Amino acid sequence: MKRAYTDIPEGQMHYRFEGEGEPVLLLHMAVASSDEFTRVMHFLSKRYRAIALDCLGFGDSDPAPREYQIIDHARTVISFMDSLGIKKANIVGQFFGAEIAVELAVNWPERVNKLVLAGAEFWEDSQAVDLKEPTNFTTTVEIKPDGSHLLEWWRRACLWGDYPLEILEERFVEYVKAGPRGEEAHWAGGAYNSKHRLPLITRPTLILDATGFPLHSRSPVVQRLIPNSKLTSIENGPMYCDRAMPKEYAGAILDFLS
Amino acid sequence: MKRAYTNIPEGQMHYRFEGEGEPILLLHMAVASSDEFSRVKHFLSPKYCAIALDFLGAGDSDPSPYEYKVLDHARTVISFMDSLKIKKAIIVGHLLGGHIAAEVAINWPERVDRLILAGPGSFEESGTTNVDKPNDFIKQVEIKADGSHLLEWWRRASLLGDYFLDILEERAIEYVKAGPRGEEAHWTGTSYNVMPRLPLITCPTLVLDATYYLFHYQAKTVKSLIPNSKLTTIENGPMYLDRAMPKEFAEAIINFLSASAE
Repeated sequence: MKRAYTDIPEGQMHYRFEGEGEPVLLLHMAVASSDEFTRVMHFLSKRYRAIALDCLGFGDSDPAPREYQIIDHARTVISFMDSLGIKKANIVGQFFGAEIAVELAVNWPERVNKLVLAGAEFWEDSQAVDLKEPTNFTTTVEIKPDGSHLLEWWRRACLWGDYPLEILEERFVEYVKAGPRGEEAHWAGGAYNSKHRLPLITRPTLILDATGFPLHSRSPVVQRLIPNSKLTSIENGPMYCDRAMPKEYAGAILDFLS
Repeated sequence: MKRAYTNIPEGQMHYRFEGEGEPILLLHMAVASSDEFSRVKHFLSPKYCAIALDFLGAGDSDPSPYEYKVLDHARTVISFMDSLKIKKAIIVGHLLGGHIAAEVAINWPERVDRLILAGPGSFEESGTTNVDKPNDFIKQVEIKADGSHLLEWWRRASLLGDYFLDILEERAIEYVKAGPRGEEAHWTGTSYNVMPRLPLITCPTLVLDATYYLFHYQAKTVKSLIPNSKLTTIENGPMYLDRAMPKEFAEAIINFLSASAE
């Protein structure tokens, strides 16, 4: 796997890439980065040109010039594809990345070959109670002289299940890199409702679900809303399914693409 | 300022660059990264092409394949210059970066135009006691499930003077990025004695000193050991001199470069 930068109008975008062939573009979850797909890319790269980017404000990309919404991030993905001369790609999006992927497919269908939405569930008002203390992981974390902000980021990294320490540390590094503006990603996700956008998707779509995703129970609803779609659920797949079960995650994508 | 990657035999090296003209290559201190020169580059870039790299294992470069010594890092600097087709550069090294810069100048003199060593000195001298609990910031930090390793990194970032929060956070990020292997950089530094090497430097050299550098008291000795050298001391300059006083740091470099220009 290699890392590189490319220029878009807002600044530099950082990305990771591995393999050759038809491009598969991977879009990360909120307050994360291209790093989350490092293990998955290892499996995809045998047959595809796997590319994972850092959205503006995350990982090693430049910050967004203002608080970006889902559609703004989608536009930067098009700028990214333009800068690399990629006319059309298979798009994989995880959570926040799935919302961006939906907008890509709806607004720029000619740039999207096949679509994989991992955790594309939308929120109904009544669903918010599904999460423990839902507002407790989206408030701004300010940098404090005693370093306690680091422990708060660590707490948020550890909130979504039991993972090996190395995965928690990766998540934590992503929080640190995103910094105090990091939660803008959760706010963008919270302000977006895919419910009325999903029926507008025309590309062949895989709903990649895992039984440990927070809104797992809603995935059949999502699937019914997208005209040309399939649903695959990974048994015992946790929230950070791409990091924790990369083989199964990549396997589901590879099966669908072929 | 832009960021980029280049390939060397060991993997990818990350670097930041700004400006055009004669290249100035900036080498960072232990458990730090090219980020430490971001403010300094802003002052250098009107006249020079300022390039700061991340050593292997630091910042966003790939890890080193094993525990690298000063000479190993010096070799990666040459690989880096080769990959960017830089035949000769002005080299600025801060603390550990200064020791690596010295080895580049001694072993590959044809690649170094002029040399700036900021805060060089040696733990081998009697001065080790100048640091409070010197062993207390070079022990390995293991990742712990309760996140306590983060507070230890924060403590180390805050150890060497009073700085603005944004500087401390930058330092903490460097500790986090370097991870549990980060302290190898300090071990590299403490197992190396720059003093007997200094007389072998042949290019014009500036010893850039600051009154709160750990090795401030050795600055005159360092200067006397380098044949063709000058000494500049920045009053009240702290350990993170380049971050806290970037204008003074850059001006000392620019003044030396203009004075030593043929």
